[in-house]
Amino acid sequence: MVKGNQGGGKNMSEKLVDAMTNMREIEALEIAKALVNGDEDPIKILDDCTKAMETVGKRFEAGEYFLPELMMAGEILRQISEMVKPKLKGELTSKKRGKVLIGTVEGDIHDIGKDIVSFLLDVDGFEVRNIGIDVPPGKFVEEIKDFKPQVVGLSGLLTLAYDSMKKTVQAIEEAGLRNSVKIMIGGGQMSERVKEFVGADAFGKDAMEGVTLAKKWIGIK
Amino acid sequence: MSNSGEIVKKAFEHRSVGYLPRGELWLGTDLLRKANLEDNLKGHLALIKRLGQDILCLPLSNDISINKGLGYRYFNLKELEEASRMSDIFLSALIDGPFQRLAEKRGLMKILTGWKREKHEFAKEYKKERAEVDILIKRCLELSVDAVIIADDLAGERSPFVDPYDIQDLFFPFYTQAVSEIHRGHSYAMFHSCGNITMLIPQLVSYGFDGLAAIQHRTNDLISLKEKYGSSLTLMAGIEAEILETEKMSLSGLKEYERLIRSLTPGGGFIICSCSGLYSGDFLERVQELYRIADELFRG
Repeated sequence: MVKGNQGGGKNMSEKLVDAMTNMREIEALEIAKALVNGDEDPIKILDDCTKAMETVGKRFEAGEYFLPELMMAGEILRQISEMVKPKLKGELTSKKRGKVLIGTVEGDIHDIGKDIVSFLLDVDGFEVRNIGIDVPPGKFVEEIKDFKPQVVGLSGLLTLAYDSMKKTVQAIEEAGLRNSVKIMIGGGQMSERVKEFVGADAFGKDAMEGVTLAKKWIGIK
Repeated sequence: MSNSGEIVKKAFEHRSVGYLPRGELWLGTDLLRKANLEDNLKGHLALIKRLGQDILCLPLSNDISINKGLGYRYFNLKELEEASRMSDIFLSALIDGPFQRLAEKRGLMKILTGWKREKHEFAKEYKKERAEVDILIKRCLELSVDAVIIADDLAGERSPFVDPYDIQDLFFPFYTQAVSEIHRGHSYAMFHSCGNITMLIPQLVSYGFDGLAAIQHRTNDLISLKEKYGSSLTLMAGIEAEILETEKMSLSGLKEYERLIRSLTPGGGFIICSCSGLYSGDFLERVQELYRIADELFRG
């Protein structure tokens, strides 16, 4: 059991980053609880979590960590965010990094990639609207008008999805919304060529790349 | 066994062949419909004949069902038995592995989210699925199938879903025992996974698999794989998803296809196959054209 703020804030802060980075969930939550109870600045706690998430992301990129570690770290972050929330002022709790609309295009019902990206974007502070699978182009247009996202993610695993993605981008263009959103595509078989064919702005090889793209477009380092 | 069956066996044994054998793991309902065929055994045999393929591969399950995600049909043991009686073509059964079955039942997202916390629970459920898969393999071997393909999607585009150490720890007993069983039944044992399984290849080789089926070049670099493991592994591959796009075949895609065929052919152990299955779309003429190109390159 970790008690109060013993060991000094800096030390505890390092311990939190270390526990989270190394998937020691219970320890990370106990430290976070102690920090919250010890009146540590909530923003500082979240910054430490972000640091830990960045290290986890780097280890994933390097092939040292895999999806379960990425998602576990996200889960820890989510729980700590819940703990910290009451200590944050109203304007901070509601402040999101940006809006991302995401869905699997018409004709495809695969959801794993889309759900992982949604999850990671959510824990990274984005407001995510996940509109499900087999989404027709018109539905994307409606949702963009309603939700006003900066980023739209089109997901699809099948080669059949290429045509559907292209139609979706065309529908967004025809609705006069193309300049208001950045469009990324992701799924099993995406490549530069598919991106060009579809008319998207970028493609993500995996969930982390999806998050990196969204951050880059919204201007977050 | 037919000439085409002998050719496939020769390919597995890395002996010289008269032409490059070809086959697919999955032929989708929509593709059969486009060929004016029904998605049943007769339809599959007719399509294989039309495309000039050498392998009849039946995705196998306890019950007839449709994979809604990709749009292909599962056959049952009775149909497999019928296939083994009515055709002398090289017959292979494709069986979803325990991990694949669990991912279908529980959802991959749920498995991955709970992986670190509930590994013990997962291992128990895996064992249950494994028992069912073991029975299916046994029944296939009783029907004298020529090959059993175990399909476990273990990887995403970048890397395996989970740590290769976990795969070794949890899946090693199933894979090694299944492969031994298949070999005792005088069949070939193949493995399929989508995604980038490069990190897992040494493990898969150590489990005794004879080859890798429907494996992606873009993520796995088949030419390097051939250099490293070509003498011990047969590769069913070569047709990447990009070249099957509905657009006209691109020059760069075609060049890469030709490079692949040229690189994978020497030394045998190569069967032309798409990396993803043929489910829907206007693939028929495209596939025939790709086979024609491969034949020309083979003849040199």
